[in-house]
Amino acid sequence: MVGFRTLLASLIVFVSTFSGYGQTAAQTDVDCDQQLSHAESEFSAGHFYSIPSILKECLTSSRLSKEQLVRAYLVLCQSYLILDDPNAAGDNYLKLLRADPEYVPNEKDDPIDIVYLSKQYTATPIFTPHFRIGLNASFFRSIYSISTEPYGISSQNPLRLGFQLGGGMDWNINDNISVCIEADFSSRGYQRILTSGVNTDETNIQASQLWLDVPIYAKYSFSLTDKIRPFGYVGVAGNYLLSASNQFTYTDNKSTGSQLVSEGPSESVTSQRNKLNRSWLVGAGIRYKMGKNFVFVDFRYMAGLSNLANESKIYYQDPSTIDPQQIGNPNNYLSANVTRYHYISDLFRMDNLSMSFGFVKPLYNPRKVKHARTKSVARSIRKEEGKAK
Amino acid sequence: MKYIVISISVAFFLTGCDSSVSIEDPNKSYFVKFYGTGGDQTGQDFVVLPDGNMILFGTTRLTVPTKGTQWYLVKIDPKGNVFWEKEFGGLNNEEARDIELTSSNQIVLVGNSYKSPTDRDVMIMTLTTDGVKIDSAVLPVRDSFGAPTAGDEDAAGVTETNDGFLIAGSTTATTVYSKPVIAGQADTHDALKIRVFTDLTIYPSSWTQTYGYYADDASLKIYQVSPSLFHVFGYTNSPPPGQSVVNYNFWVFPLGANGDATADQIYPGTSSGDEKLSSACISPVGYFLGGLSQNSASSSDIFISEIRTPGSLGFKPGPVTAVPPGDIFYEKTLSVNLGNGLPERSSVFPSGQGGFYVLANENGFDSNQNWVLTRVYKDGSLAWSTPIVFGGEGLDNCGSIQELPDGRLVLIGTMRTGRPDAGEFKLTVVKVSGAGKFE
Repeated sequence: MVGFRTLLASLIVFVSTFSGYGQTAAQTDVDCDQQLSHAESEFSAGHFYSIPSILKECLTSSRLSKEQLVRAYLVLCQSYLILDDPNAAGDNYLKLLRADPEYVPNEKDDPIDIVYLSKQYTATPIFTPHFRIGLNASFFRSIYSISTEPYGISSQNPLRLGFQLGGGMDWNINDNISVCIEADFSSRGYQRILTSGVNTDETNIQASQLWLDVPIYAKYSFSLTDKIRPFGYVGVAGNYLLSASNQFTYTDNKSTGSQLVSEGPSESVTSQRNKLNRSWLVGAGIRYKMGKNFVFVDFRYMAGLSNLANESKIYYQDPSTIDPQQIGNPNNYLSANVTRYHYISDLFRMDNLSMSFGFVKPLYNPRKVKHARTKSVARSIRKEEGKAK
Repeated sequence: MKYIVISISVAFFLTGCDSSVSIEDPNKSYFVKFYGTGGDQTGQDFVVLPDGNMILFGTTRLTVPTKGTQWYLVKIDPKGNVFWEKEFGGLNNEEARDIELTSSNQIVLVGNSYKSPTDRDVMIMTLTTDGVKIDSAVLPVRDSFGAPTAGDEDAAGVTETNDGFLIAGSTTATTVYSKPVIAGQADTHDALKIRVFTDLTIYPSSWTQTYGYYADDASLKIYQVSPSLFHVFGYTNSPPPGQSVVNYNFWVFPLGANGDATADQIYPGTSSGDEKLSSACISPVGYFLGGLSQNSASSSDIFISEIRTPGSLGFKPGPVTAVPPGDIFYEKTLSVNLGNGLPERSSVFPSGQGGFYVLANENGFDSNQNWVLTRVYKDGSLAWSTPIVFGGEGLDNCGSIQELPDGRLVLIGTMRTGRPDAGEFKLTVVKVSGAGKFE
């Protein structure tokens, strides 16, 4: 019985403790909201000196919402500006930007002195990392057609999809312009169907390549709405070919209607390729704001500038595959592709169209700007003062 | 920032975009082309026309033949593109052997036509460079009465003379030319030296059409030195003077005005192996000869010899440096392990860099037969440390080689394409640099 009383007492204490805690927390929020309203009414009443002390406890309690913080720091900024303490006003504006890095005062609704102050500070990230993943399709651009067929050939180039993933960093020059560098890994491919000009013999090549791309580009972006920020960019890229392989099928279509098909496993043609490529690129997309971060969709066209076929190697087998017992120079063995599949690589460039989805994590950095653009605001202030007079 | 952008832009635009403006068309300099639209085509020989175009000579056999194997003639431009291709022949099978460009800018073809599976006659044809036939003739070896024999002829080469053509080769009609019987030996073939006029009518019977020992003899090429002197290049297994062992050696002898051979003959070769000549060309000092050397214990090797044009009617045996001097500058194998069981085929051509190119076949690895190309200096030593092999996974047969005026090489032959075990044979032309490379 004693035990039951003790247990009941403990339960009451426990429940009352937690309900009390809840009441205390709710009480604190209510208090801070009241304190914030009190500070704003004090500001309206012209009692500026008391405002910092009214808000001090709430600001240190860290229980204010982002909107409450903005309101609190705005009141403080205005108060200090009126009290002719621009340093304190600036400090509080920096704190406001830390609470809401995307905060931009509205010239129509917000006090002109706050707008003026805002021009001296920014939270624009200096660096903005992003990550991307998506799909791509490549376009084969023949420079010279090279073929074992002396009668000419016709070619079809059906699209093959690849994928890419990577990340990059934007160096933000200002709110609109940035310079970006990326490191992307991509799988690309193309297909070619080559048909002899005098019969229907056909060579089918399905090419697969792995690339490391390092694009550098200048980007322009702007805010369409609070959430949506379109962007466009142009730049150049260095591309390194990690590997290249081809899957071949040669179909000898006989006059009797029968077919003799020659095919084999995918073969490395890396030795027949130039590994370094240069490209120019152009792209555009839209960023969508989610909290302090963004997701984006990006469409990019990267046009290859370099001939990817190594002219001095396209006829030759990879020397490492030549048995040392074979006579002859291992560097000059005719590639088996030439006879087995009637295939010699064109000299070609390769363009790439990609669609990527990504995530942007802005590294906000509230700071005072070195060269504040306050002239237009100053003109507005003077205009308002003129009207007042 | 702007300096970075400017620097990058300048770097990229300086290097520019690789295009047909900045890159020379490689098809002008080197290529591999397969000729023939269906069935099997072989490549044997070709000529380069004064305008740089080429006419290729080989055979073709359709997938479903309505005739026998036909002669196959293709005219191509220097990039390998086809102007036209034509077939010549009858219901029986034809074999292609040699094509030459005449001094009157016509084409002469020579090969064999099968009368029966064991009886071939020589077939010769003249054409314009547009492939229009002028004359043709089928030439069996005739006996001393002018009657056709039943011998099996195998033409090897044709040469323009001052009034027509001379055809080299071999025949089984060994009784046409009478010779003493040698016990224990077989008189299987005599060398051909069939002479025809420009209109392909046969020369009077005073010109004997065959010559040989009681042995296996063949001529491969005949050059006219003067209206009354011809040099014949072939092989024989008749033991040379001073030897008693029957084995094959190169065989070089002169013919007089009536086609009779003189006794001053030379036999470049070794006493231990069989050397069969399969190609000859004119060299700065005389003639350069190429062929295969083979003995029962080892694989085939390339055998070469350069001989001096004799001042007199006949050739003198022995090296040039000996006293009294002979006409053989050198004779040697090249220590290239070609393999075994190879066809007796090679082609030689003088190099503008000095020395000679030698094209042959090899199957030294995995029994896969390919073409093999090497170059020798004028002293016969190897100019390339390793030869260059051309071919695929199927059976490939070399035809001939020529150096173009710009120093590039054109090789013709046959390669099996498509599936290595069942693909079609194609007349194949390879154009490479003077180093034998696609560059």
